[in-house]
Amino acid sequence: MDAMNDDALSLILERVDSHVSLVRAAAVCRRWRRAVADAAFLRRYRSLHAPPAAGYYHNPTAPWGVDGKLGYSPVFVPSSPPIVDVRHLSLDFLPGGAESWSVQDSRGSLLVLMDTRYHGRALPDLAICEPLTRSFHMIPPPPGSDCWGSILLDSEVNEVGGRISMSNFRLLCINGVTLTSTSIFTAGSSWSEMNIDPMAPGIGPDFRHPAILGRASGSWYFYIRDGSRTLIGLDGSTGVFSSSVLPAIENWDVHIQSFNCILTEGCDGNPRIVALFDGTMKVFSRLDSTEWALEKMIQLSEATCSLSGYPSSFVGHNISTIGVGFIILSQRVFGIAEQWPFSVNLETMEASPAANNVGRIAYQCELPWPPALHACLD
Amino acid sequence: MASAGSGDEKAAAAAMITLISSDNEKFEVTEATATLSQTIRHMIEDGCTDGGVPLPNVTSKILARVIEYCKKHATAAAGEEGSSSSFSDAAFLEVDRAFLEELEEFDDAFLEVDRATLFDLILAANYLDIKGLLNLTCQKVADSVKGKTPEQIREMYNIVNDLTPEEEAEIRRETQWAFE
Repeated sequence: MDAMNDDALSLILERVDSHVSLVRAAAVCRRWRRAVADAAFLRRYRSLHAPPAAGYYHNPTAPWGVDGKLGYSPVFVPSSPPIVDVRHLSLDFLPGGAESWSVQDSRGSLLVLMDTRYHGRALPDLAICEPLTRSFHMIPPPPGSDCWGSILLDSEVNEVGGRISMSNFRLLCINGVTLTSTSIFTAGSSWSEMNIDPMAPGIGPDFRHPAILGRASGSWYFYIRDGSRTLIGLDGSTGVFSSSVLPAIENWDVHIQSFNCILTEGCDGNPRIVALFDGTMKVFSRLDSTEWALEKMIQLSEATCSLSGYPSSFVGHNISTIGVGFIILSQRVFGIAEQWPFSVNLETMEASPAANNVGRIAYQCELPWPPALHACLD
Repeated sequence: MASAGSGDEKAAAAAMITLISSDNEKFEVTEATATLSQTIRHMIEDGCTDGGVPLPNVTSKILARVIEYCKKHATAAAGEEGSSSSFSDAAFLEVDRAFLEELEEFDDAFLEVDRATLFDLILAANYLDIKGLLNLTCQKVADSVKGKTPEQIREMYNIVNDLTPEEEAEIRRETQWAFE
């Protein structure tokens, strides 16, 4: 290996298709460490291998036990097969312990959490954390008296291909239900106001009561039940609204009223709308910037009947959990209160058995990029 | 652009190039085989291949293996051009599939070499700029690193550990999640 020149060594290392193995290779010797820590190498590696998801967090719907203590600590569910030991995803390093916090959003390797002990004050403290490096920053509540939700945004891509990190993130809060102003927090800085263009499409008297359909890749999506099939998107990084039209084949007003329709992010990072109706699951994707089209559909009974535990008599399906690239549905079983949950992959449309009660949103958590490679580079 | 069957290409395919290894052994190869190497392709384009192409960084043992790879893949490239210029019906697709499978088997068998030879092949592929061979050989080494500890990697490739135990501990602290 000593005869190998640096070019060839980089060519080998960029083909190591596991982030964990790359970090280990960077601990072999000084030469390998320098090769991996090189900015051009890291940028190239990132373009070839996106950081994998270690798993996802969810806020439990019922208390669960850690070390014999019951509480509402966020739960971590590792990817299958697991990439890193789940011990490293514990949130016990947060002030007051994990049970004081509830996950609000995730992006890359970061989580934004809300302090659940804020009684008596208008708005809770927030924290940004990176579980794998056990680091966190406290963030004061956003200005104003109302916060409708917070969303983590990517920053400018840095010289090693990183998009978001503890020192490079933005957090957006929508201040009130009228959607006329938002606040944005930038890493290393503070909150600043971002006004929304009042002339933007969809902002009218009706927009006071929009239904939140979901969020994907730093944008929020809202629907107004007025029969126009119009979806309003709010790009979190620019504060710019856009509108798009859902296909006429569905009665969207009814779907959204009955909560069997949501929007999430696909494996490719683009938004998807999932609708359940009459035992069929349909996935819609964007045709272009203004229109949506049916992408895939499955008959749920056909997709699930070969799974173990399939209940032959049931009364219908609910959307129980929304994740990146997947969705968990629960089948309401006839005659009993128990529900039978299964997960559907939005790319393959394959169903597989899933855990029960994993919360409304699965907050995906990726391995950090770049990994910390500061020591021994001399 | 000339199509696969034109007179020019046939003449080019028949032209022979002499490659000279570091230990002065001469290898006669067709231009189609030699030009899988971008380095040699540029030399041919610049008209500096008369009297043979000296390759002072490549031994005869390694050059023989590199030529074996290029011959096989040059045939494959010619085959692909042939089928893509025709309309692709099921029969052609079938032939393509069988050929690709054969090529994969060839590549697998080709990689059954000791580590020293594998590294020499990487250096030769890098120097001669043969994309397919470089990818194949580098991927083989990269795959062998996957799932191994730093210590196992050092053992596998006889790499001297120039990090002190304290430095190793510091590195592990930075990225503990990757080591346990």
